Amino acid sequence: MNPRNSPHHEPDPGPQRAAIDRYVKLVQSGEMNAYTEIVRHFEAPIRGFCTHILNDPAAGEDAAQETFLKAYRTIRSFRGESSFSSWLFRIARNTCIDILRKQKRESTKAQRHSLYEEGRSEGSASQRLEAQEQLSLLLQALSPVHREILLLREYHHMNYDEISSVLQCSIDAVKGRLKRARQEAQEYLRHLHENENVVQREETL
Amino acid sequence: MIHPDSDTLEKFFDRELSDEQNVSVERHVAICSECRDFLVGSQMTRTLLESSPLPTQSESFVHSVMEKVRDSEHQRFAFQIRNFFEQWGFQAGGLAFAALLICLSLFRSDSLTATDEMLTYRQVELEALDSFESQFTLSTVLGVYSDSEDSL
Repeated sequence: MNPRNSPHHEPDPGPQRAAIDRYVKLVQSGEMNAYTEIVRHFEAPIRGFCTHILNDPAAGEDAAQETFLKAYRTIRSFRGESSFSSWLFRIARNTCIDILRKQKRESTKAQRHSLYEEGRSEGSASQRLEAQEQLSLLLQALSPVHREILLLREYHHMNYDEISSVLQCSIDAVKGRLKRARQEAQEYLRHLHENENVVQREETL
Repeated sequence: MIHPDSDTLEKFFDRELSDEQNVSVERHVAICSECRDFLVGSQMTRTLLESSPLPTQSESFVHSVMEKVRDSEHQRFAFQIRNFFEQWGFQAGGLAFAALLICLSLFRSDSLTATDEMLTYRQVELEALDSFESQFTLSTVLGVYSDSEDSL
């Protein structure tokens, strides 16, 4: 899957997947240089995923590097039961979860909460947020579980099978979790827009 | 008004319904603001997420990862060697020590045999010398005696 090749990030299995499978087999047989092509192919989506999950470009880049390193170390255990893409996203997801747990221990939770509250209720001109800022706030506001499933579905356009493979849960669980994630996101965005409208009205008065 | 259940709406949004079901939901959504709001909200989330561009491809990232991969390979190799020595080092050391002892004992027994042979040879020599000396002394004595007889 390479979302870069499509304006709507559509999954692109087909020949690219065959090429990736070939590179994977080469790496498994000891051809370290073939891994360069794998990294080149998945670099942007994995970096994007980690950046969005962690909501921090620097931490996202570190997590992506860690993901590729872990994937290289364990690539011999990849049996091709799921797609390599799903397998890689699973590693990225686990790496991000570890980082989030570490961050939680270092009590960044308070900061996250304050940003969420800021997004919800602060009545200033800065509330008219650009899409990027809105997205950043939305990702901050969502719980990690909902954040990851929304990203996999809406940003990386994975189907339910792929998501269940990445998250290692049943398709029914994916559907249920996705539904709750959408509800949480909608609720948050509604609050954000309501606040924005209030500010606009105050400014026009 | 009977609303489609939330699962059906989700499937409609994800385009997972059959054509027939799709038409039915479309008709309902056209007249139901509640369901339409749900779909508009879901679309807003999707649009917002899609609005974020993927990071631009970076060769420096690829190089950085490959650098780490190579380092990891070197470390793995060093670890394997260290592990090998930790696992087999004592046995190999013990075997080498035993081999050394065997070599030393073999060498020692060889040199002892050689010394024994040399001692035996020396003994034969000495015995020969002794017998020669005694013969010489006897012949000398006898010679002196015959000389004195002659002079008489």
